Amino acid sequence: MSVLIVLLLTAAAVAYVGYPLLVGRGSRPVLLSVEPEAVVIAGVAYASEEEWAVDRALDKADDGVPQRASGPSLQEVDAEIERRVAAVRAQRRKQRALGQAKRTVCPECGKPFQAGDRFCARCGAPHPNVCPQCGERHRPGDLFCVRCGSALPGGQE
Amino acid sequence: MMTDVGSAALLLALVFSLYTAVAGFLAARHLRSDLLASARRSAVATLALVTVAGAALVVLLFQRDYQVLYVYQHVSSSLPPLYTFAALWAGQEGSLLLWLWLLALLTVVAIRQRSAWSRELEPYALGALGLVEAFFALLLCLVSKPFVLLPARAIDGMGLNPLLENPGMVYHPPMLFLGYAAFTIPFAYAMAALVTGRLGDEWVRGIRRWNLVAWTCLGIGILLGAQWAYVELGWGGYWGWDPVENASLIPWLTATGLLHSVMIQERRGLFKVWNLFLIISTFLLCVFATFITRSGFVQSVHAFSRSSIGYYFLAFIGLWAVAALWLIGVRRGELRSDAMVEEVLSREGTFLLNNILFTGLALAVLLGTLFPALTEALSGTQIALDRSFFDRVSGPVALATLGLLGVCPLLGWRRAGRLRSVLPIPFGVGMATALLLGLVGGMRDGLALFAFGLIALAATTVVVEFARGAHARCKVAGESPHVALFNLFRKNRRRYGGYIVHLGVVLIALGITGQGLFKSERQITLQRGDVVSIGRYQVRFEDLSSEMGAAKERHVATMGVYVGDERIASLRPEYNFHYNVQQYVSEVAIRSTLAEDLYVAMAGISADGNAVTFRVLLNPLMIWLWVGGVVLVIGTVIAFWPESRRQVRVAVPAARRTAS
Repeated sequence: MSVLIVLLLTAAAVAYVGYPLLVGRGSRPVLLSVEPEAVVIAGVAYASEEEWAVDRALDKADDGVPQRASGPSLQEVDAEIERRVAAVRAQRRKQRALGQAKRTVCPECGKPFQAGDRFCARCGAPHPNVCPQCGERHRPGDLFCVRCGSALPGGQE
Repeated sequence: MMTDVGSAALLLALVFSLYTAVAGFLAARHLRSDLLASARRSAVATLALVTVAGAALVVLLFQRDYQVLYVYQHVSSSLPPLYTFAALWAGQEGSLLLWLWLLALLTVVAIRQRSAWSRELEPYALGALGLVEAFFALLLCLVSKPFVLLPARAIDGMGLNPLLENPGMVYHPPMLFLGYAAFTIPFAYAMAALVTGRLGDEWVRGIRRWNLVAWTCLGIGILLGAQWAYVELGWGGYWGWDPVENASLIPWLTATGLLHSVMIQERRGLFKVWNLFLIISTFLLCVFATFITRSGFVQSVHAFSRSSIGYYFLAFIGLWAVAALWLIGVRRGELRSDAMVEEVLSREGTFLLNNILFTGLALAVLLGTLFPALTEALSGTQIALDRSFFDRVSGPVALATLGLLGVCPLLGWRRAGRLRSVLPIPFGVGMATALLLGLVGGMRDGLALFAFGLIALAATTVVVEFARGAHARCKVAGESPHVALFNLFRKNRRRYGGYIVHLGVVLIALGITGQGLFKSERQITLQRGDVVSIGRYQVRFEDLSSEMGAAKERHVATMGVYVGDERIASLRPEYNFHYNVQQYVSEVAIRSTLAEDLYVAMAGISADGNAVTFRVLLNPLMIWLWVGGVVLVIGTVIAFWPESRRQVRVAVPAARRTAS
């Protein structure tokens, strides 16, 4: 009986403690909590400028410039925000780069074509996916123009 | 069955507390949030397991299972339920179990409140807490096992020592242990701060509440113990400088120093090493107090029999002390002060004095307590110091502290500020009180006049500070006086709660001074009808009744208290023979007024039962000691109360705002 209870107890405790290790790491992001402090002067947080004035009248407050609040300092929070913004930007840049690689570039001058362009805006060279007969845009890999029915040069390759 | 489950739960608690420590350290080293989550859960599991062990012991106590040694030693069939429960901490094993349980509970509380400052420190703090828990679990598994069985079931238990059968037994030990255990949390965060090198003022600010809670619990525990001694031991006093009493006082003294010097680190970036030192030594002194109580290292009325457990405690204290000193040494570069104390007559300067006084007294009391053991080690014979040593050391320090308490709050940071314009009021009141008592009251004792003068000075300072604060609010914020007074507490709980605590300390000083300098005592043998007069009272021994009970032989004396011809009260002291310890134990009768306590205890009964020896005492101002304690608690609660949470406005992205 007591062996059973002890085994159950052990199993329950091990399961409870081991659970996070099984589920895996980093499920919950660490959130920055910034405690709101209206004024922090010489290490003391005041609810308002008025409270500081009361303490100054009592000769109990330092005169000084507002400093960091308890918890992460403003600089720390700033740095964290900067870091995250930078991360988001880097990701965007990467995506944009990927998108640009897919987008067709002018074979003559290298300027990327915008959607729907038939000729390059810079040098006037035709878009590689344009029908040489009627000027209709077609998808890469098509063998014949969907408008005039002529054979396409890209299709033969 | 219960004993098996209990022992197994303790063993599992040891395993899981060790795992907490290891997982905590690894999580911090390798930045793994899954390990940290697991360590947190392990702390919760440890609490659950220790609770199971404690519950098993409580069930055994109530079942009166006399095959269990601990139950046999501390419970008997005639013991009331309340004391049966309190028997849980009547012995060494149960006390350590209570310590561990409280520590496990506070650990879980500490990890529940996650805030920005503790984010980096928590894994290491959890590691340190796990190690301390593991130490106590180890003791309970190896040296001081609560679930040891006797070869056969005894018929009845030995029962609780009658001196312990007092409401004090229910409150005093858990309160004290709660204080001890609570100091582990600041200690753990201090170690974490040392390890991580995040030694700014955030962590000091963060553990402020823990310091406060621990300090209050310890202080209240000490006062409750004093009260218990006063009403139970029958010698008329409340504090005997007994080693165990001293042991609990020493960490309280260092913690009092800490509460003050922490403020300076927060505001001025001074005393960083000193604060670390105070936090760490306060915790180690708490463990040391447990060690003294539970090891028989120093002879004491509280102590249990000598056992090998002392070596474990010494090793534990020594290892932590070495680790802490080494870490402080490594981090000394980061621990440099940001500024200097510019003037002695400033907040910082007087706080420094305050710290010197408190730690100096702590050191003196520590040396005095260890003196018998030290002399035994050096010369082979024990030389004990009597109370006069402690009285002579603590008296001047107490007076100096009162003086500081009167002056320090009036000082500004960095410079004396408007001291010259403010000090004359408290100083004048103090002088006037001394003069009035001396000339009109006819008091001739210079020391007493000085003490009462200082008490009046310190009390006036508190009042003046409230008046100044309210005045400043009236002027600056344009509030009416009573709103301003109320707002003082609302807007700056910490400072004005602290002043209420000061007031409590002043009242306690009043009680100590009155009782210490003006008590009168008479020990006299009376026959029925005889009268003894003390102060303005005549106390007449009227009757003695005896009865045989199941657990004790009761003798109750009826005493009439007269002032002039008028009978104002009757007191019933008892003198009972307890069968289980084969001893007489006195139950004291006290008549308390605001001015004085009349205290009557029986000290002996003649063989024929006609003549009774009484100890009659008049303890002036005694009640203020307890009133001061209550005021102190109120003040701490005010200082502790969290600031009202201001509304936090957080920018929510437009998309989410419409979605929700």
